[in-house]
Amino acid sequence: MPAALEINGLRFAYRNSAASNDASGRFELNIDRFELAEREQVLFAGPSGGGKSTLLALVAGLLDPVSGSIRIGGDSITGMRGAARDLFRGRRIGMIFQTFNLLHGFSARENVEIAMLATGASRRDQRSRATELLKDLGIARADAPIDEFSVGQQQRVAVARAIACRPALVLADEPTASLDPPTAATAMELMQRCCRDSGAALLCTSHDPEMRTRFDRVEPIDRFVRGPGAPPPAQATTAAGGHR
Amino acid sequence: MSDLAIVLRSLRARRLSTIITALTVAIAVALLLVLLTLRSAAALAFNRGGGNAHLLVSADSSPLTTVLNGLFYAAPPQRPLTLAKIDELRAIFPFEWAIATQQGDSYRGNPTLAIDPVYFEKFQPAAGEPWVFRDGRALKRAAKGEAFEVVVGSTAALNTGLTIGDHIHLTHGSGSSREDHGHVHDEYSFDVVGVLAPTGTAHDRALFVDIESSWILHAHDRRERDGSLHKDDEEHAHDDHAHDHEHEPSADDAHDHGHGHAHAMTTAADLIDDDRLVTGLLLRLPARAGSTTPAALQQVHDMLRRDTTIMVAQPAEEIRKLLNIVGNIDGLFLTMAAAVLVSSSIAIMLALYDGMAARRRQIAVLRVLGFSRGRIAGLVLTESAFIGALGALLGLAISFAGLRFAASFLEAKVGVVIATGVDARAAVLVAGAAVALAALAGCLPAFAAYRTPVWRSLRPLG
Repeated sequence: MPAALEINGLRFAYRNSAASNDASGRFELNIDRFELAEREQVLFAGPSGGGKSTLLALVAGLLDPVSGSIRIGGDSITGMRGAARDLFRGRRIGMIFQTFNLLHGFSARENVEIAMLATGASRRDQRSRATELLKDLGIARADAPIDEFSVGQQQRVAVARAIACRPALVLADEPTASLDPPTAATAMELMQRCCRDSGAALLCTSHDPEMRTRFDRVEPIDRFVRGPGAPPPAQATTAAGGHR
Repeated sequence: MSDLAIVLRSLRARRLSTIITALTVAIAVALLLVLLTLRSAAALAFNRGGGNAHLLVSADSSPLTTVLNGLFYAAPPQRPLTLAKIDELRAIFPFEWAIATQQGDSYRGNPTLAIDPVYFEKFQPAAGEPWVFRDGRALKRAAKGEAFEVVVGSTAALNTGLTIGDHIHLTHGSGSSREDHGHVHDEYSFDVVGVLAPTGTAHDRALFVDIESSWILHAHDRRERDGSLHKDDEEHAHDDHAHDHEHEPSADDAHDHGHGHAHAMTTAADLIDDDRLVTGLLLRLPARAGSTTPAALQQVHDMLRRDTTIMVAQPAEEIRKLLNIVGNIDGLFLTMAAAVLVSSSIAIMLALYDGMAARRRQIAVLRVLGFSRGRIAGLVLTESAFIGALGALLGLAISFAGLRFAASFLEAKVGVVIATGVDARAAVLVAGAAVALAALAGCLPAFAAYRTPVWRSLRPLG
């Protein structure tokens, strides 16, 4: 089975960016090799502005690296361009954001259906899958406008949308940053369970040290950040406290 | 969920902006449709209204006025011709027919045309289309003692509610009501004997009476003015009604005047040459079968033009000239309406473009979910075209109302009867242009949507 995510020789740089990591304003992300197995879950940890979101954008094909390749489920997203890349992202990658980024003016069900619409699913398939997912996640009023839902419920709808297309990989960008600790714990539990159940690998980013305990594998983002003045790279840890 | 559902939801989210921009398109579309339809309908109505007369003679000031007054009832001709002059004109060429007409009276704002009863046999309101009677029959000349007759045009019948058997009194001049304008010829009533089917010409709003009855009405007024009528009246009174009245009134007249004794009335026998006034002479020249324009038309026209006491017009030619003049003016109006349509497209562009900043996050989310740049741009273009289509539909509805108003205005003021249906070709053309322009207006906002930076737009607010 191909890895859910495979990164080789990735180089990316910002110049004069707020996300810079040296005095010259230069920011570099270098990943010689990184692999995430099928259904595996990993946390990229680090401070805000440390490059976690940039990494997610690169993996999602929303930014282009200077060099290197990113493969999702064996297919190279860096080798794709334009609409083909967009379609591939819709089919193979699910995304969960800190502020959920649900579409206002649409119902919970429609928010989930839109994810499948992008990939060409029929209306019947959209409806049945969205209904099933929302029911599983405990959303009773699927046809109510999304603005009428609580933060916790919106988080669940966002999870349903992320896994609606049965992706190989789910990217979660600071998914608990807007939640209070008890809600955050519940949300993470749900997200991780859903990814496992749907067969998706999970790549999560967070600056919250509490999150480390929830993942078998934690990667400090500074391990991949290079540049003059950058802090010495930390080592990746496993649940057993070992290095990868 | 579908792309169209996303478009509709987006329009609904910006309800006020959508309605206002669609309304601006609607107004432009309605203006264009009304103008285009009026242009073709008016041209058709004018061309039809020429009838089958080759020439029209009057004492008006210009050939165009002659045609507008004589065939479209724009205004009653101010200067009459004498019957002697008419007889002279009739004799200069072996016309197929020559029909004298007289205008000047009206009934509840509907003009009256006094004619020789052969008018309904010879003259056709639109070339090749003879008169059709919806009810009743044509006029026949009233014999002494018989009531005068009137035939009512279809629109006039609708306006006045007249039906067969009604009795009416004509008003001198073109007054719109008995109370407000003009002297009412109370002495003589007219029986409605026929109601015409619609002809699609100005004649639909006219009433037709025998020219002799009209002469009698006005002769009666003259006799009242010069005192000869009262002199007769007194003579009759002195005779204690012992002998028959020299000009026996009709039974109807006696009824009208039931003042306890019968007034002296005027009959054809009282007419003098000055009473036999004519305001128009319709002429048709003999033509070969299958030919619409007689070979001698120009020659006869030129011959008549040499007579400086009359004005001669070729209706078809004058209508053509009129349409040329009007064409230049309505071209200007059409340009203005087109400019309004372009302005409305700019309004659509501004509304959508202004909304782009607020929709950046939504666009970015759709991109993350797998929508391509092109598909996003397509959604914005569809929104824009949808506003154009909505405006076009609204405009079509407004144009129906506008055309009804314009038709009644034209009929009342110019005497041109036009169809109130929107010209289908114009509707397709204008609606298509509105949608295309709206779509074009959506190009800039669509480009902005296309260029939306995805990752930056997804960052948490604050």
